[in-house]
Amino acid sequence: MKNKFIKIFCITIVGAMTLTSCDKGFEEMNKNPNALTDPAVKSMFTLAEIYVDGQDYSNTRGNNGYAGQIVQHFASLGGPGSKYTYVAEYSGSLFGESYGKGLNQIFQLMSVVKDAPENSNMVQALRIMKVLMFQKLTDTYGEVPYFEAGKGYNGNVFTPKYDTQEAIYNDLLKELDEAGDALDAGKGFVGAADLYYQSDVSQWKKLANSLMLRVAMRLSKVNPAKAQQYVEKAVAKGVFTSNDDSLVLQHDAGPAGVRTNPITSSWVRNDLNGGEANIKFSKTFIDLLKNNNDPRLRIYAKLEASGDNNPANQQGLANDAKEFPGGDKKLFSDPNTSTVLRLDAPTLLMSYAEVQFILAEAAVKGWNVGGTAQKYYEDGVKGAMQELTIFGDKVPAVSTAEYNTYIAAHAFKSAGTEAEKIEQIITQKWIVLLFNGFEAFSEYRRTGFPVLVPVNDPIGETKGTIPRRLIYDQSELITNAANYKEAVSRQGLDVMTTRIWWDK
Amino acid sequence: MKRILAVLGMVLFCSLGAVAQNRLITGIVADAENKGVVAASIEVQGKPFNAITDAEGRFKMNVPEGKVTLNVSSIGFASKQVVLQENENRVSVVLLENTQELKDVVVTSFGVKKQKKSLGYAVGELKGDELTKNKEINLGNALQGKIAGVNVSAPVSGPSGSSRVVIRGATSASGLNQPLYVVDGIPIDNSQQGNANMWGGADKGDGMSSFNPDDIASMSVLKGSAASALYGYRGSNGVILITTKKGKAGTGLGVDFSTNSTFNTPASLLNWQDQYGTGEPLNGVATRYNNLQQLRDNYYNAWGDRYDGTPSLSLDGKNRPYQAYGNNNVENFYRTGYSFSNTLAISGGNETTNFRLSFGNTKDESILPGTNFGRNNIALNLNSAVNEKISIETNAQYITEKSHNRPYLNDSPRNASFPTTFLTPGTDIRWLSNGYDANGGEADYFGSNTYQTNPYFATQQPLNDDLRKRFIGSAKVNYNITDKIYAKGVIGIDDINYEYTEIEPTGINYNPGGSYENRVESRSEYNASGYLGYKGDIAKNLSLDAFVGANRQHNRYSGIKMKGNNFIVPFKYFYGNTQPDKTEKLFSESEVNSLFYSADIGYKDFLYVNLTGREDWFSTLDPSNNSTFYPSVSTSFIYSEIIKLPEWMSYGKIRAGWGNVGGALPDAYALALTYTAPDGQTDSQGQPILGVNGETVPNKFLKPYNVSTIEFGFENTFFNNRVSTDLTFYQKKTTNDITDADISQASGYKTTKINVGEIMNKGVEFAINVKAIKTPVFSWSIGYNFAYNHSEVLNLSDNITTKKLDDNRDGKASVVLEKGQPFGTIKAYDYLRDAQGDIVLDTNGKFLRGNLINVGQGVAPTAMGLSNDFSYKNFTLSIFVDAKFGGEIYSATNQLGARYGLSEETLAGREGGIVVSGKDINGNPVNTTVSAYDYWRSYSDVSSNFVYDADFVKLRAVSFSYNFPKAYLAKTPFQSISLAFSAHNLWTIYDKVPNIDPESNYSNSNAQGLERASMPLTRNYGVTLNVKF
Repeated sequence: MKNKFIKIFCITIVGAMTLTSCDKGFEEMNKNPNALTDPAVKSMFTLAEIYVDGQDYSNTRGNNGYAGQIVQHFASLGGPGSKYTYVAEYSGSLFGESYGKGLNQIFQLMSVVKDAPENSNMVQALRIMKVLMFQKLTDTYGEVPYFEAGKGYNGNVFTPKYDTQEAIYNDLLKELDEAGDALDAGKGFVGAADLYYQSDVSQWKKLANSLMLRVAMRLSKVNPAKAQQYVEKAVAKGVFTSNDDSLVLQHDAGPAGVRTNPITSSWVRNDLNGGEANIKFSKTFIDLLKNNNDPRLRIYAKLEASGDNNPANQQGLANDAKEFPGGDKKLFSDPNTSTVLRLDAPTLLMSYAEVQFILAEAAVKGWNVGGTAQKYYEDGVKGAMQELTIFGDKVPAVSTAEYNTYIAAHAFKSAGTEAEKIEQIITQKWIVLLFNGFEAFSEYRRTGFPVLVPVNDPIGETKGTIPRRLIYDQSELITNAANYKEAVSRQGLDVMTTRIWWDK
Repeated sequence: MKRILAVLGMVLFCSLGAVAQNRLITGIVADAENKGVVAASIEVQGKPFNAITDAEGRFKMNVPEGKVTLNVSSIGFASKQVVLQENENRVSVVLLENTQELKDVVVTSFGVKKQKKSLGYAVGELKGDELTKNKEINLGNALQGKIAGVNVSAPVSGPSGSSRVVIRGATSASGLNQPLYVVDGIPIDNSQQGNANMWGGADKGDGMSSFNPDDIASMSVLKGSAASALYGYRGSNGVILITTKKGKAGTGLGVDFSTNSTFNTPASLLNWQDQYGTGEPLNGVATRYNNLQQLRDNYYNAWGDRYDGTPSLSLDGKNRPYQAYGNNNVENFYRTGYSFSNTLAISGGNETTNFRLSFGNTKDESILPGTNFGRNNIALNLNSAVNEKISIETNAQYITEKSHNRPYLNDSPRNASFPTTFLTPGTDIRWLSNGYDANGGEADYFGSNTYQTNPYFATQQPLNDDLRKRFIGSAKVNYNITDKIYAKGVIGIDDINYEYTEIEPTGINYNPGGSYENRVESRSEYNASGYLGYKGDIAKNLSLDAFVGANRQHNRYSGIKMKGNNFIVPFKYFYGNTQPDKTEKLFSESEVNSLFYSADIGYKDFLYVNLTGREDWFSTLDPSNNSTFYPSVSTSFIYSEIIKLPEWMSYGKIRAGWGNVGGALPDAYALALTYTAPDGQTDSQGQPILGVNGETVPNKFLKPYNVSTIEFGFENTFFNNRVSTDLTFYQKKTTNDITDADISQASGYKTTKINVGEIMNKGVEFAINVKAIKTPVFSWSIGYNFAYNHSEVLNLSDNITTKKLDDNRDGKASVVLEKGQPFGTIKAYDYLRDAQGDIVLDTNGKFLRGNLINVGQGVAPTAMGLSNDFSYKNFTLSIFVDAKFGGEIYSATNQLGARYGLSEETLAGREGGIVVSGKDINGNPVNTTVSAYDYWRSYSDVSSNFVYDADFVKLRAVSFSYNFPKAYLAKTPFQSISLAFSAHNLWTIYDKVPNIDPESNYSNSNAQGLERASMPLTRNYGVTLNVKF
């Protein structure tokens, strides 16, 4: 009995040692049974589309805290965007979040699907989304890592080089051109997993071309010839032709998180506070709409505490205010929580109206875009007003009659100077870009419109001038010092007053 | 290699049939005075037969037919070889006393016993009786001060807490830096279950609290890389080999019973001022609080006016004379704890088989009311020589450990120590002893300080419970193929089931709804190994002791963690009564396969060379990069054998060793990116969503870090072996340490782990043992050990030079790793200074906080222990003193004491202020009077004022025992009875830290040297009775 036991024991030992080689089965064992290691690509694509909109962090801090206040859509007593102060986590928010969330998702998904021909349309869509994100990044900071970016996992590049903005813009245009051409309605896409256009390839082509308009027009100051070339090229390839083409991202009603409107979620949860919000509509914005009897005002704004959205009672906070005039925060307008500031309010990532205003500007400049500036301007204003139906029917939509009244009162200044025309166009665009402060900030820097009165507060960092960029995320000084320093030496000091390449 | 083992296995089984006839021999082993030598070991050379002598020195054993050679050895005596002719069946052996170090057999890697003189590296040893003289519940803590180079520091968390044992300095920024523990040849788990950090937490214990000191025969410490090289990737922090007690052949049945009771008294060192009450300046005049809400919100502020005995508001809302009541708050709140432990061991054996079965039970009631710990141990050791070729050895231990309300430390809400420490002297803590409000929730005594919990409420409520059930088992088969070649197979398992529950009770002020968290996990490691060895002479004067082998290590961890909030029915604490919050599955599985060899070559009896090598293959690494080789070489030269030494010098040996080992194996599943639903949200607009998981780039090229040690040692004895010394110099360098490197976010990720760190440790160890007096009735022996270790962080990563390990909660001090500085450097704020280095004041005369400066290291570089053992007839007395020097501690207790006006020093300037003169930031003179309140509060902002030298000399342990003379016991069933009294932490002979003990660190992580509102240390008084039947 004992001997038998020993025999079995020895067989077990020796058997265990001899049956396998020294690392057999290791690879299989090291696959995590409780995590996904192979992604569901369609689901990743859907999330990438959501991430393109930015998340809570960049929207609360970069968009609302800086850009939206710099362009005087919004105002607050101590907000860095109102007083031009430097708050590191706010200034760097777009940088870290763009690379860490949206771009990383796009790059990783691209690395998974790039070699499969059946995913070609997905790859093209990802290229277009990448342009949308990178343009916002480079417009906000100037030079950023581009060609070496997003290679932390696929390539182990932990300190990517910064690229000049010119090189980035050249590639953005190339990407849009190629991706638009390569989109093929004959090939499969992702069906309903495409939240933007439900896999309608022709819509994606229009998006690529419309985005090309946006990218190209940004070069109007630094390289007008190239701007004209690509604006004309985009028009020839076919851009948005109605509000149905606009790029709209729908959100869910909750629970708050990745799928809810990123501006709304923290504004409503943390800041709105029954009308006690610290961020209010800017006096600049409210006064302009009020003075113009703009029918959009009732949809955009209300007094949260009382629920009053009567345009006559709306009041904006001056960006240079050090305290609330009258002392009652509740008398200042908040974004309307029945319409634009709902958890499930959609995000207008790129609108038909914006396209019309770009075309109007191009026409003013005499470029061949196949229409008159006035027609594009009027279509833009009309489109902008009608587009607001995406925010639901809690507040009556803008009627055709209201549009007619408005356009009659604010007719295109056909007889005006080029500058006057452009001011009129860009001011309308500025209204459309409400909640897209980054884009409005870029357009302000490119055109100087609308004319804003700078805030000159002693706590500001810009000596009373409107910022020309945001300061890089400070982690770059430590984690990517050499490349950061190289970029700063090319571009100029890492301060808010340094003008980036296309702004010179 | 594997094939050889397969063949070997076959040979082994085929030969099992023949069992040789044995013959029985009897004998006696005596010393020079013809007294029997107890527990001497008798082994048949080259054969698996052995016996141990009984109390009279007698033994019986089976030996093979024919001529045999017996090796007779005993601790303290020179070993002897006796040849027994084939017709001899009785033998009498006289052993001569010797200095034990010389002929000692020590346990080395894989449990292989070697002669100490042949070793080319240092091995520290601790005998079982050292562990039982002053019992520690956590075995790791028993090493304190006993072995040069072994630095022990336990967090102040009571007896059920963890230990921190660091050998020759920390090797890694990322690893825990604790040694590998091996019990009877089986590596066992020593994971920390939880640790207090900046935000608090509880010390949830480690794996070393499982063992019953009464079951331990000896501990052997492999300090350097040459000693631990056979443990390959697990050897970087040294290895501690634990051998459990075994039965003795031929002794019949014996019963040992040991019982110990220890009383633990809190030893508070707090010495707060008792002249000024709770309050703060009002319009510049120190004023007591007259408003209950204000009093409660600021209950710790002792900036009121001087006590005058007039009626005044107290924390409980009553009016009492305004005077000091709370000088003994700590003593009044804590209680006298006690530990009670019993071990019953039955052992015995016949000629071929022996066993030891023991039952142990330990119960500890902490000084913290409501906190207790219990442990039950069952251990069985069974050995058998099946025949002359085959012997088996089995060990099994089953342990249950149960803990209730482990103390919360540092900044935890529920840390009873915080309010106990910071109540002003105007409050008697017993006024708060009704911890409940009308609804049964926590009474409000601390106002807005909701995160500070009433200590009575906190200790009367269920806060946490854990239960660990553990099985540790091993089986070994040894097969002597010839008298020189043997084969061995070993399997071992450490299987742990653990359940942890944490409760935030209903009505606790910071979270009145309460919460419930439960973690159930199982963790196991099994090892299976095979060896083929050769032991014998290979040529004239040339001996070889060598083996090759293979090991498979398999680890599996699986658990479920669930959490719920807001008890639906208040005060009913179970998961089903909560709103479920989160359930998590925890799992990992990994394997390491190894091949290894070891060869000891001896020339005559004075030159030895040992070579080892081990190749490890890891399942958790990328297949292209999954193995590492760990070599070592060491040599021992006993020059006293060939050189004529002066008469007073008895023995001389030089040794040198070099080895290369690893540490911190990357976790399972860390190579590949994974995907998950973001923020737990699985869809948008009805479409599923999935994203990249985590912000850390998996690094496919990550490997365990590498440690290589070179060491030289000198062993000598003098004066006929009355004095022995051991001196060691070592240099230990860590390369490829795993660093959590922050990377550019533009890479898509925030961090990655890379092999770039470098750390250097250099040091010297010295030990001396002196038999000062040795007569038949009286003896006195002295043992002293000393170690100095200098550590330096050589590199962290390419782009960082400082890495934070942890912060303290108050006053802004942290423990960091900084290039060029010792491991675990404490940083704190200096005064604001001008360009000349002079202190700058603000225009009101207050101090200003300046730069963060390096103010010391949390781990003492110098440590020593001194033991004196006396015996007179049947009495023995042991006195043990230990000391540490060169370390520092940041004391938030003292920082807050100054800030709150509790420290004695804050009495300065209470009446009339403090005159200061200096200059402001612009160099303008400042000559003014500052109120004590402003002065001491601004002083407390300068956190470097609260970094203290943590040097100490402590009378750590005294024990006094009496062995009842044999004559008294002759007519009783008892073979022996001894009674011992012991005291622990009796007296701090020297220290410099006010209000706290210099050993009051709260963490067992790498961030050593931080203290805050710690539990008082204890003085322990125990009595132990040992009875043998």
